[in-house]
Amino acid sequence: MKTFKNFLFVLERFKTSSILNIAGLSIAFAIFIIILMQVDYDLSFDKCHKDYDHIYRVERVGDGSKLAILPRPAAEILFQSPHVVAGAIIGPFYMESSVTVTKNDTDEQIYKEMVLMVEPSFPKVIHFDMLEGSDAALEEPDKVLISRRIGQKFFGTESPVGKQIEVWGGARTIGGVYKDFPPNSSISNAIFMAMSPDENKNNWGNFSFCVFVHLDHAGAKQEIIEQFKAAIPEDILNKYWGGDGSLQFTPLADLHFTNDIMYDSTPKSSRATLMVLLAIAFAILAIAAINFNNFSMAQVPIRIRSINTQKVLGASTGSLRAGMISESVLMNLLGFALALIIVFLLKSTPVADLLDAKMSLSAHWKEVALTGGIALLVGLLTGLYPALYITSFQPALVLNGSFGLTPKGKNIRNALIGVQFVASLVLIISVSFMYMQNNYLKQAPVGYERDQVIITDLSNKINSQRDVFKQELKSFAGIEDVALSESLLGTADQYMGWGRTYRDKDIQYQVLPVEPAFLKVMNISVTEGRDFREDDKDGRFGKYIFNEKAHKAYELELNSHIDTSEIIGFMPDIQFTTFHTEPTPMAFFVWGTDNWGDKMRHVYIKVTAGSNMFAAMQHVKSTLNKLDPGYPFNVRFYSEALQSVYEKEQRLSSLIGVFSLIAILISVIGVFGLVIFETQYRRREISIRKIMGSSVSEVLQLFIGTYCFIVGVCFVIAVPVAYYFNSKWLDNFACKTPLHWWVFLLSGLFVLAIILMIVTTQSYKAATKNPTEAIH
Amino acid sequence: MIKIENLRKVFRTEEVETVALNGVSFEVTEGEFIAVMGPSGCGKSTLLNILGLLDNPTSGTYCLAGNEVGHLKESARTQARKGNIGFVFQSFNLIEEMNVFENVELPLVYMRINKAERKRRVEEALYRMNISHRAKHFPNQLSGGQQQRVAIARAIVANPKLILADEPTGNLDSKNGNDVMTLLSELNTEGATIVMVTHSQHDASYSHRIVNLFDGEIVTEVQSRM
Repeated sequence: MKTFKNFLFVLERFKTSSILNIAGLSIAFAIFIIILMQVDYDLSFDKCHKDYDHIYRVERVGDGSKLAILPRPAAEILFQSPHVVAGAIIGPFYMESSVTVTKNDTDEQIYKEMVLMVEPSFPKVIHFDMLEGSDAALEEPDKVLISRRIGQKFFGTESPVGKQIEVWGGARTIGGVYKDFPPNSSISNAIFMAMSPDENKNNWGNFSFCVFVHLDHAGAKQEIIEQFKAAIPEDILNKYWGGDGSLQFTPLADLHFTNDIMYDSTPKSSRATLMVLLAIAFAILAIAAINFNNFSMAQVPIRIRSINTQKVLGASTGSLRAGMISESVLMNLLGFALALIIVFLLKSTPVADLLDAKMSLSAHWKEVALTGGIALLVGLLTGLYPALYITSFQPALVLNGSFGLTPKGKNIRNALIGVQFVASLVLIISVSFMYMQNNYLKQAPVGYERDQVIITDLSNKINSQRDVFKQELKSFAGIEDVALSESLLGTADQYMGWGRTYRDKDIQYQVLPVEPAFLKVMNISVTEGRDFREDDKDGRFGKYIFNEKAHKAYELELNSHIDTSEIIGFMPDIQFTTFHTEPTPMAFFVWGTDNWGDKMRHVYIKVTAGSNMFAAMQHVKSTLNKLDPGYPFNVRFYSEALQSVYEKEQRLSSLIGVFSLIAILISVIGVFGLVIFETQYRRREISIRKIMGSSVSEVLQLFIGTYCFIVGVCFVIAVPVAYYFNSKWLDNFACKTPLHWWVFLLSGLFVLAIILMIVTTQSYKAATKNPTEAIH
Repeated sequence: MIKIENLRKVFRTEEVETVALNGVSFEVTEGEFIAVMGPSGCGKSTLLNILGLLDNPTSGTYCLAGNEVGHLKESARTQARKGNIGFVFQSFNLIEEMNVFENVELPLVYMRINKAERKRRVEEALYRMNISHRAKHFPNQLSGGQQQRVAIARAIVANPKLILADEPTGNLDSKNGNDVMTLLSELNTEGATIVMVTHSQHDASYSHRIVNLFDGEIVTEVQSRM
């Protein structure tokens, strides 16, 4: 009770500083909780699955690369091992497909949903929590499993089991409804469909399937690999597999963090990014704790008289210390309580969208409890030192005359402020570079048109009447040209990879099949040879245009052939992947009539420069609707599609940016509080100096000098630290903004300006006070 | 040297209006040593603050060395004070973080006197006050008497015409108190004008004239025995 009274007294007496400090603490705790939520989301990825620590994905290792996909016969060999409790293959390409749902026999609705082909044994590996029906439905060829959310979307409140939907041109019956996997699962909430038992059964050449196994124990992996190596036929090893037939088992819970495996389309995160987030969380916490500690220490000269008077009157040192420590703990717990309110209120703001995790306190009670514990600890630690310090003096000594911090105490305090300044500087510099990098990605040259292009996907119906579709589009005055392509240029790290033999050498390159007009539409010029012509697709074999990388690396010659396809031209190294990877050997390819894979799924529509993009888009939409009404087409500006690739990075940058600004704000609050205290404490000195003839500006210089010095020293420490972290981060990009020196300098000046502004305004008040008030 | 006429000083807080000085008039001629006496709260310190140009009167005139200074702005008051007025306080008011030398040097720093000259004058003042051997010490390492001698050294280092002393012996024992009073008398005989506020009849006896204040008004002015 007495503690509480003291606590209220402190709040009342040092109102501004108390409010600022508790605000700083509560914001820091709130950010800490929020960051823990995100970190927990990523770290617990796939841990929702039953027996996740026994489940592995099997990958092929060889020729210096790893593949997430295997041919089906390889899986059959693996599943024979006695250590494999259960195993299943799954189609690897997570694609949205159109699903037709017919209600009341007439009302046809088309939805886009993920459809996954799996072996019927899949539910034995990945457990499905069945709400209706049974997962055994996958044993029947025309039955599918859907998630509860999909069921509600299709049929509302009606039970979906037994109802029919149309997928990939065939009618399927819903055999069961499973409980949705949480968002942090590599297995998505899809329509699961059984794969034909005979599909590619003996085809070693088709690497198309992800293989999941449930092992009886982790140590069995090596044994299985050896068995596999022994079982795989020699000729197959040489012809298809490459290497020595080695495999890798990636634990299910690690899938989210692997990024060196090709054809792995599960959602990724990096541990480094999580570390950055955690580092920020702790930096903010440290900044707030330091503020609080400095706040307590700054009160010492003002409170020491009352503490010593209590001592003289008989209070024991122990009880005084306990009182001060509980006061500090109370302040921290108050900050924590406010933090919970902040997080609760933020839940319904755009800040919540920056997180992948759900911003719910009850769902993250562990993180909340942990933060509460940390608040308690911070309270104890920040209360301990001032409590020991303030009670360590002989009461008689302190009752007479004035009292100030010892030089050592001041040095500690300045060092603590220094830590805050260094942290703030590093954060400001890093946020600047993140911002610059994001801008750089938006503007960096890719080598092809991206602003005047509209894209859309294609339905089967439109694909079968391509020419009519193109004619309709071109009839609009603002549309210059149209070209189809199998993939979206510049939106993936990897495209279709072909390995071929060229003049007795094995060569590897990525292929983007396109229509002949594609290069014209995308403003890509040919540097040697010629562009594709419309009649190229009428010949029997396809035609290549390679990039310079391939040209040089494989010494390709114009008009020579790879197998039967001719190389008709070369073009510059355009940025055909995202900026995460550097251009590798690559070709655009136009199919001839001898065509085993034409799956043109994307349309590029070039809008004439100067004409209205939105009107053109409207025309595209109405054309699509006329030719295939009801199909949900995804019509977008190409530039937006390119941008969306970096969405996760941009969201993360925004998150880090917001938190860094808050960190800086909190340290500014700290300095603000300290200057208030310092000017209050030094009022007497200021008065004496003024009586001795000091002018106001001379008093100001006194304060400003100290802080300039601290900021200067911190700048020297912060620059190499920030340089190190930022160059590390930028290594994630093949295409990156330079580390300009002036960003460092400006950040330093920015911090200096803020600090000087606070110091000047605050000490000006003290410097202009009537000197007679403070001395007697 | 000093001529004040009808000086009034009123302090206003939100609710109360306190009249600290109510029409005080007197003159101090050059070379005089005046003691101001009176009970606590009679306005002694307020008077001294106004005389020392630390504060402005609410009304009335204050003429210092022939110039009207009663209603100057703060920066002008600072200028008028520099080098002309020395202060000695009851609680010494030395700056804790500075050593003896630096404390005494302070007024000269603000007068922008060069370093060599400052050194010469500080050493002279410390020698004069018999405290040279303590030049590198900090205030909390000195006795009260020593601290007050440092404060007096600081008051005279700029050779001011006027020295204002606010109960200079208030925190000292009788021996140290006598030493301080003797020093002040010596400074007076050398030509300094001194106005001293005191509670002590004994200290007042060192002065030429005693002004008694009561409730902000002068009640008597008497020639002291000296």
